[in-house]
Amino acid sequence: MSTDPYVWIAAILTLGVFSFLLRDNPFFCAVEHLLVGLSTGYMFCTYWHNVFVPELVTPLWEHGAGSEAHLWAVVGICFLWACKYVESVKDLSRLALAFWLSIDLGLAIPTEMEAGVIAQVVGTMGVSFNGSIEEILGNVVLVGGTLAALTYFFFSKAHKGVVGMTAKVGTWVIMIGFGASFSYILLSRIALLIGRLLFLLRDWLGVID
Amino acid sequence: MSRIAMALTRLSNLDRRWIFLAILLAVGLPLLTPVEFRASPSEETLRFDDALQKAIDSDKPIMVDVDFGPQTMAELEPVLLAVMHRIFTSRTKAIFFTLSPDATAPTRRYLARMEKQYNLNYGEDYVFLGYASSFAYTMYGMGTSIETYFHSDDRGTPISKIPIMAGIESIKDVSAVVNIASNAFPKFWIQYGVAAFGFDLLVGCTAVNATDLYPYLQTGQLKGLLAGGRAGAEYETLLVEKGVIEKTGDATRGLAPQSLALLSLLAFIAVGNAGYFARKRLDKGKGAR
Repeated sequence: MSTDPYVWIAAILTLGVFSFLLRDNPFFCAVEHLLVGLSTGYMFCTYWHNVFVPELVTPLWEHGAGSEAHLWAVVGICFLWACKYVESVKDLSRLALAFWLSIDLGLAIPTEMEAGVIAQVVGTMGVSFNGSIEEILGNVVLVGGTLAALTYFFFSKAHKGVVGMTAKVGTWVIMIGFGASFSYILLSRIALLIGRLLFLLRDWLGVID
Repeated sequence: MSRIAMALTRLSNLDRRWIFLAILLAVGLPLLTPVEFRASPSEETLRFDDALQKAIDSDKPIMVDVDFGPQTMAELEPVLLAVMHRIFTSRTKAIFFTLSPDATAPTRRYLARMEKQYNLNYGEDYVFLGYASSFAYTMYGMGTSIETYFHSDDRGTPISKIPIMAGIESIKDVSAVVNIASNAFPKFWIQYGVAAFGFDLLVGCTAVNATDLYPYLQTGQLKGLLAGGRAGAEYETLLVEKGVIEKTGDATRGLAPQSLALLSLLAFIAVGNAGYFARKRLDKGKGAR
């Protein structure tokens, strides 16, 4: 059994979280609040020491009147954000929001078009129907499944006849996709449980190597 | 027949705590026994290793972005450690950094372990640049200048004074970027990095994110993908076969409990569904009377 006090603290807190599986209880609530408090504190300190001070405060303090003067604009935008808490000037915070959104969208739209739309369409159109039976079948399912799923989201024509049948196949394709996602989620969650049990059995109790 | 239906109905109303207990036993018991499953490397795992080998073979350093915290350590720690062993065994230079604040402390710990095991020199064989905020701008900006987003490394040394960073101005000066992430960052790397600057991206992700990333592997936007604990186990097996590591690690150890837990879940899903249909049938019978 471990003699490290940190391992003991971690083990007791782990058991506190697991106690929720029996029923909600004060021990679990205490652990939950501790986690939220610690996470918030950790994030605040990280942003303070890694972002706020080195990226804004120090450059302004040292070169605020010279090479880093443009950072005063960032301070101004911060004040605009804070305006939302003052009733009489709260609309000014929209300027900060607009500034932020315009940069984000300007960066996201062209890159997403390139990476998420064009490259994917080209990838689907460019599949080869040569090769082994396995590859050909896989590519038929890929192209057919994509077309069927797209048909399901095509609402300008009533889902009847051929369109209806294709949309139905599209529904199945989407459901199979959800099923695959769900099974991957299960795998992930079980992996987390394995990690915690390994910690309890190996690092804390020392019953396995 | 109705007795079976009644039993199934009762089972489908089972207290959930019995299910928790069953899963606990399914996961815990294999860990207490010496039973160990082996995962033979799949085509995807081999593809990941080939892409990493290509990066190793070039003379440039590899960049590794570590984006997972304690909550997903069980799944991604084995993947990251395997990648680190692969890089450091071949004495390839590596530049580590993170875009997730909670990944900083674990990364420092893993690197300290590697430094000791492979007798590495900090700043020459590897460097940890620490954490940078605003992931999207950082990913995009590193395509033109790394120093703009990482002024200094994790220990406060300015980038210009770190030997390994000499000649590395942007992401185009490294052989590949490896992103081990529990969040959606690999997708953003494709969007803000690969689409704009066209470098090789290799990803290790949690199983949850796998279905989102497979389409990018098919199009070649991703050069390699290790998805979840199973892929980690496959990679460990491959590295043992290649003589990079002596024995497999926690990912392989997790295969037996994972298999048993999934079988238990399948059984519960089957019983639950059978119970649902049995109850429907019983209700129909009562309605007819």
